[in-house]
Order: sequence, then structure tokens, then C-alpha cells
Amino acid sequence: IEIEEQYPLSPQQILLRDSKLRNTEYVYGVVIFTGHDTKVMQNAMKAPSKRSKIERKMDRIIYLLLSALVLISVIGSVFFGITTRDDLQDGRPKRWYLRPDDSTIYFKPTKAAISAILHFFTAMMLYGNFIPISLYISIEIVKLLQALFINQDIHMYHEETDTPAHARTSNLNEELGQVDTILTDKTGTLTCNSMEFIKCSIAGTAYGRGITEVERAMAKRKGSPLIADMASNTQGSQAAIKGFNFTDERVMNGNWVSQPHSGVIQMFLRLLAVCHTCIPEVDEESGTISYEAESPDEAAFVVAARELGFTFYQRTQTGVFLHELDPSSGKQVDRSYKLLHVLEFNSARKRMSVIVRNEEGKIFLFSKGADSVMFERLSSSDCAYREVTQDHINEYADAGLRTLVLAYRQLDEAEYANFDRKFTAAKNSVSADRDEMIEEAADLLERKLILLGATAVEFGHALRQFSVRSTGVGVSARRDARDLHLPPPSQSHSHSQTTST
Amino acid sequence: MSSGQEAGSSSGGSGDGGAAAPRRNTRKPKYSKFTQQELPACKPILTPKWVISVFVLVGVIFVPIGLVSLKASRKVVEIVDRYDDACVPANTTDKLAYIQNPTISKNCRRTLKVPKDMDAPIFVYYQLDNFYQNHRRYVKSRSDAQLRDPKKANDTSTCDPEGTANGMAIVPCGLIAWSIFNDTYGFVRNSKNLPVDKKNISWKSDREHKFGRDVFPKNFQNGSLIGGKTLDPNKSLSKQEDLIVWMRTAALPTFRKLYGRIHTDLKKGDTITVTLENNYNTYSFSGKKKLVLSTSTWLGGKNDFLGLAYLSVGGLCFFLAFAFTLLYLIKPRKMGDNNYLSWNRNPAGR
Repeated sequence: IEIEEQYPLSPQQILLRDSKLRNTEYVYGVVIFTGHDTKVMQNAMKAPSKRSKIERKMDRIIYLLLSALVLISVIGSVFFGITTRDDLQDGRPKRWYLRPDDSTIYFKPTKAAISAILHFFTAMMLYGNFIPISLYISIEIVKLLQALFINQDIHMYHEETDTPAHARTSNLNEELGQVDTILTDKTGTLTCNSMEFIKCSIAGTAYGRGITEVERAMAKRKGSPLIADMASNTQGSQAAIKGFNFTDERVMNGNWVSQPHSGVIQMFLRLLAVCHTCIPEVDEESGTISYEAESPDEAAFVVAARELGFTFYQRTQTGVFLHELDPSSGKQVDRSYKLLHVLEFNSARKRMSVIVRNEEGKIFLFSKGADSVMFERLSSSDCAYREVTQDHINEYADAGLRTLVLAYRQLDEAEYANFDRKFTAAKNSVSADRDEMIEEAADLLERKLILLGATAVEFGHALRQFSVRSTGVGVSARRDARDLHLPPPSQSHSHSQTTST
Repeated sequence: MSSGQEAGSSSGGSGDGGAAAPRRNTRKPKYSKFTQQELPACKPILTPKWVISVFVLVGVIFVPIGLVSLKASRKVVEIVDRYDDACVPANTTDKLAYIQNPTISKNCRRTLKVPKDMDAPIFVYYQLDNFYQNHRRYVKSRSDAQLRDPKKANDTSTCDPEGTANGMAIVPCGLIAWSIFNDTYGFVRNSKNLPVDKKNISWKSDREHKFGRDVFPKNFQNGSLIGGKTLDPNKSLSKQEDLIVWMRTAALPTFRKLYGRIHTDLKKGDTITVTLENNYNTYSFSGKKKLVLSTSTWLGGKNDFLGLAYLSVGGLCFFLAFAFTLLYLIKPRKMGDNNYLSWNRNPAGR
């Protein structure tokens, strides 16, 4: 009996609103989570009316003038009625030149009340110029010209993304500059959402000569001119590659081949180039490759691997394709890896793994994650550079960098077949403990790993682009100041914070 | 023991990797002083010296102007004589009955004494008080087309209730023309008549453009009520200058209108005997009638307002300048540092 193949419905198959579907010929569709009880529908609210302070003040002025107009008309009409009634006394006209004895309803002394009421409307029309209706048009023209000036402001132009200021509507021009406080917590760090690969530790050796912003700030406070000079010298010499701020002649330009642990370095760079979920985009004209990534640090890793000789250039449903630098021949070689499984990153696991099969048929598990969860999964037999790597990780953390531990393991066919059966069954189940079953199946494989090294990524130039102090905006954040990348109030305070966490 | 950072915790947003190719067309705004609002501008700072100088300057300009204006106004010689009460016979109990009775003679004789020398030309005005020529019904009761064009003689729709009489159109129609002033004045000095020149007492533009040369009075004052003076049917409206003067309506209830000119100099101490006809009814609405003889200067008639206004403002400026000077000398306040002004601040702090 042939069993039908089953596919799991996991979060990876769900297209949320504003998602994009790529590289897919056809799909089977299932509609889930619709209707007014969904969170996105409950959050949909009527947009509040945007009226600026100037318009509200103008409304108040117009109401005041309208009240004055009505008051003037009422008083005038009352006096008009009184004098009109007095024009005829005992049948004899007083102001004879007005002929009150032969009059229409507008000036009839015998019906002075009606004449007064009609005079009220006449006065309202005659004095209507009192209301400056054209004031709204004048203000609108002024705001339109102001919006044009905002669009042309060079100080609001962003060089990096080539984005000028664009006032989409001129309604709220004068409401600019209202922000005075930014409230944030640890997980919402004030960064530019761009990361730079700056240092790494491979086989117990630290690579990367860059200086981080935190190190530069501390050096400045100590008054060390040597580090400052070296930093400025290094800054000027290298060409700017987005996401890559790594400088070390020992491994760049293919020099890692002659390092003592070149095999470990090769595996390290291969892991960086394979263990991710990026999608490459090749520019047709220039041939350059850019990467779409779920998070900027993943993009930084792939860029670093490319700069060091392992170029990831294509991804299909089942495979990953690289240009690798072959240490034996010194040339670029095309390699492909069959992607068997992806064990996703989440905040509970704190690690991500991929299982691939290379062209020779060997099966590898590549894994990267936080040192707190990765070190306990390392093989106990490998103790050569474990402590050294831990020391490097601590140094990187003190310098304000984010670190990941990289490790791998080779699998045999029986082990993989056993895992594949259990993992697929867990994914296809729809019971309540599905997540636990998946975790249990993945845990079978993610153990006895071989340590490769660690990476260090810096949040890109947050201080330079977000000058909080000069704008007068106050920042209030929980826990320590390292996540904000602002100079801490005192060095000892910073150290105490670091040690306490 | 120090723990490491969480991995890949930034949420949302895809980061672009790789070096960006050099762009052909950048979207950076073009620089010019106008678009960046850096044009040079004058920003006055009101220092005590500047303020005091400006006040003194205004005072120095205004006080002489005020003095000259006041002097010119004071040079005008003016004689005002109210006659509506004095011309009523002594035994009259009902003034309204007196003025409306055509059989009673309305002649009256008034004596004026000239207080100062009056150089020619001497203007003769009649003045009415409490007469509202600005009433909306009164002002609207006229037909400008009819006054201008003989073919529009029947265009009397806006002239009610004085549009037609006995079924025929009135020319000129309307309440304004109907209620034209009808008192007359004659002047005698030393048993010799002073001729009154009644030419050119109206506006030239009125005579040439607003009142037709071919329009003649017709059916005027033929109704049941007679409001004012009768017009010569054989004289065109453009030559009836009394009518033209009266139909330029006054804005306020107290007004003067030009009656004529006397081209003879009057000496101080002269006695002028005025023979007038008291025809116009001001008794029903408690109005007043006055006869005015006046000379004129470059400023116009006798009116102190302009001179007093200039003197008041000039005096106020002098007072303020003096007060600020005392304040500046007795209790000087230190001038702030100009470098703190926003346009003098460093560009880095902008």
C-alpha cells in the first residue's frame, strides 16, 4: 500500500498580511483566522481627525467674530425698530422726508417688530464682510509653500538611503518637533537596524582589528591617544561595504588558507554561508549580489562569508549554492548543498540549525546560537580551545558587540533517517503538544557538537546617526545602557551593570 | 559569570547587504539660498538708543505739523446763526401748523455782526441737525438712470413712494429730490446788496456725468404732499445745482451743504442783514437749521481735529522718549548677548 506524502502546516507556510510569495509555481490554499474577532480587525480603528493648532485657533477666532456680528446686528435691529415705531405718532409723521405714512413692510411704523426682524437679516448680509472666510485660504497657501520648503531641506536629506524629506500633506506642518521623550525597553534597543560584522574567534584565535564605538568612547575618557589614532587611521583606509567592517590581513584575500587551523576556518566560513534563511538578489546590470534577510545580522554573516571567499548566490526550495574558495587549488569552485531540514530560531531555543547534504553525500548539521545554550551542547571530548573561545566572547560582550557561537556535526545515514522520521511525524501532527514533539525530535540531533568559533556583530553607527543629546530628546530605558550604545554615566557603573547581568 | 547577547532578536525589517552600486541620479535637493531659507534679512533689535531716537524723531515731525494745521484752522473766520427758533412768530403755539400753513408769510430778518476781516470768497452754507440723509429707505429712493437719460424718464421702480404722481412719472423721482431744501437767503450790507454766486457749487463730475443735459423736470411736486422746493421745468437737471448739491447725500445726521459764494470782502465790525425765507420743516423731527458764513484756507474749513490729533501723538512720543531716557539713565538694564539669538548660534547647534 502506497502512503500519501504529508506536509506540515507550520508558521512557515502562513502568509500574513503584506507578505510576499516568491519562487512558487502553485499553492494549495487554506484560509484560517479570518473575521472580526482576529487581532488585526480588532486593532483597526477609525483614524483620528488631524487638525492643527493653527486651524483650531482660527476656528475659535471665527466663532468670536460671528458672535460679534450677531451682537451688532441684534443691537442695530433693536434701535432700528424703536426709531421706526417713533416715526409715526398719532398719525402724524415725525421724519416726514421718509414718508412713514406710505411705507413697505421693511419700514412700516405700525409693524415695527417685523421691520426690526427683517432688518436683522439685512444687517447680517451687509456686515458679512466682517467674517474673514478667506483667512482659511490664505493659511492653506502658506502651509503649501512651507511644505515645499520642507521637501527641499538639505538638512533632512539622508545620504545613505538617498531619501529626501517628503511632506505628503501640509495639514500638520507646525506640529513638527513635538517629540520630547522616547521610552524604550531592553528588547527595543535604539539602533539603526543595521549590523556590521567586525570580529570573530575561530579555533581559539581572535580575528578582527576594528575598534567599536564603546571602546572608542572609553578610550577617549581615559585619554589614550594611541587607540584613537589607530581607529581614525583604520577608518580612512578601507572601502565601505555595508554590513562588513572587518579588517584582518591574516584571513582576508584568501590568506586563511595558510593559517594553522585552515580546516576549521573553512568550515566556519561555510557555516556562515549556509546556515541562514537569506534570499540572494542578483543585479542584472552590475552582477552584484544583495541579500534579503529576516534580520540584519544574518545578512552581515552572509556578506562576511562572501568577502572571505564563500559567495552564496542562489537558493532553491531544496538547495543552497555557493562559490567556494578551494584551499588546495586556490580557485573558486561551485558547490551545492541539499537542504534537508531547517530548525528555526526562536526565543526559547536561542539557536538555529540546518541539516544539509553535500555533493559527496555526507550529511552535516550546522548550528549557531547563544553561548548559554550552545556550550552545553558541545562534545565533551573537544576541550582544545573552549575556554579561549569563552574568553573571547566575554571580551566581545564588554566591547558592546553581539555574539553567536558556531558549531557543527557530521551525521550518519541511520541517525539521520531516525531523526527524519520522528521530525516529520511531529511536524505533521495537529495535537496540542506538537511544539514539544518538534523540540524533542530536534534535541536528538543538536548535541555532541564540534565547536568552530564565535562571531561578533556591532550595531551600525547608532551614535552618529541618532544624536539624541543635541536634539534635546530624553531617552528612558530599562536595565543597562549598553543596549542604547550611549556613553554610560560612569565606567564603574557600567561594569557593575555588566557583572550583575 | 557574564552571559552573552541574545542572537538575532531584532524584529521586522529586511536589511540590505552588500555595497550599493553608485547611483546615477541622486534625489538630494538642490542647494540655493532661497530653498534653504538662508537669504540675508534685516532683524532689528530694539535697543534703548534706537527706541528713544525713533520716538524723538516722530515727535519732531508731528508737533510742527500739528501746530501748522491748528494755526490754519484757527485762521478761518466762521459765523454760525441758528434761525429756526428765532424766525417763528412770537405768538405761535404750534410750530408744525405754522410751517405747514402756506398763507402765513415765512419771511424773516436776521442781523449778523462780522467779528474779523473776511477775505473773499466767503462760502454760504446751510446746516441741518438731526436730519438722516443716510437712512436706507431715503438713500435708495432715487433712479440714477432717469437722472442721466431722457429716454429713461419712466424708470421709476426704485423711487417709491415718490415715483409717480397722478399716474405719470415724476422727473426727478425719489424721496431725495422730493425733499429738497427750500429756504432762501439774501444779504445786505450798508444798505447795499451782497450778490450770492450760485454757480459751480456742485461737483463738476456730477454736473457732467450724473445729471443729463437733456433731462428736464416733469410732474415735479405735483402730488398730494409737497416736500420741498419746486424746480424750473425749463432748466435741465445739469444746471439745477441746488438739486445736485442736495442729492449728494450726507453720511451723518449733522451736515452742511453749500448754498453759494460771496465775492466781496467783509470788514471787521460790518453788520450784515440777512433776509431769509423759513420754508423747510424741521419742527416735526426736532431738527435745527443754521446759516453759516465761512472763509477757507489750504486745510479747508474750521476744523481743529487734525491739528489736535497730530499734537497729541507728537506729545505722546516726546513723553515716552523722555520717560525711556529717565529709565535708561536711572536704572539701566544690561543688554543681552547677541550670540544667544537663534541666527547667531553656531551651525552645529542648529
